[in-house]
Amino acid sequence: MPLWPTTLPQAPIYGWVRRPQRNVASFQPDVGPPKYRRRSTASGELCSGTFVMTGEQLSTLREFYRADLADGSLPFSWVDPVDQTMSAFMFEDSPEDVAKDFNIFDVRVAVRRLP
Amino acid sequence: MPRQISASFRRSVESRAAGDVDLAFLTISHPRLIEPIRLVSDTKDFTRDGARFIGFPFDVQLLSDDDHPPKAQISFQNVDQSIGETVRGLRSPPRLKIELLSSADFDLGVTPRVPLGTPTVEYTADKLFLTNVAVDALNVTAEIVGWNYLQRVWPGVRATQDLLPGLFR
Repeated sequence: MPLWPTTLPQAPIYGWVRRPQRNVASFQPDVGPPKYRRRSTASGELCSGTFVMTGEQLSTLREFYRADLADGSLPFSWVDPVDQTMSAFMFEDSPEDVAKDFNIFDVRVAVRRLP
Repeated sequence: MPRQISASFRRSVESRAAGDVDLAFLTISHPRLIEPIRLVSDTKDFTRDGARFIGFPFDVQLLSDDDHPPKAQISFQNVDQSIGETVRGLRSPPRLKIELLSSADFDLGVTPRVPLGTPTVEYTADKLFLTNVAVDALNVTAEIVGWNYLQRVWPGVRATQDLLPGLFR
């Protein structure tokens, strides 16, 4: 499994949002409250955040996304920025960059931590 | 015919909210398959009786239980196309076994999941066949049918003119 490139920032600068994937099945009977069941014994997490990168780092990320991850269709290993454990992730969406200054970009990524 | 299920599983099924997962274990076998295909309806792999069941979310119905031969449907996403292609490549219907177990009988802290003691099989449907397998880029769907005793010849051997011509002189 490809590793998150070492030349890239290893943690987002700000706005790291993490939400466990809903892992509950529900059934609404005709009368009374719904019934709930756990769907699987493990679920993933949806994460998003913003990195600040230079132009070179942005090129590295785009190359990593396109070539190593086959346009984001493959998982990659990365140290979770919150609990610092090596985990498997997949891109939920293609990385989005906004030029903030000369050679400085805000890069927003949305990933899924796999169960 | 009454079906025996454990008291804890019954409590879990009948409760309004339950934290245990009802796991469907599938075993697909065929003489042309070197190893049976073993799947479990979960995101993690499971080990049972020395065999590894691949975690693979799918939808399976319980078999009908009326006057007609048992019947149900199964569908799963064709993400790992090897399963769909393997099943479709078989010339005769593969055998299928469905077992229902509770996640409460497994250690959920390890991967693959391993049993805590001897897990209780709450429901078993064996001697089934997968027919009408339809495979496309996204989904694999198939019908599950049971052995249809109504279509079997009984008695197995009949005193017909072809078999016993001396009786018809």
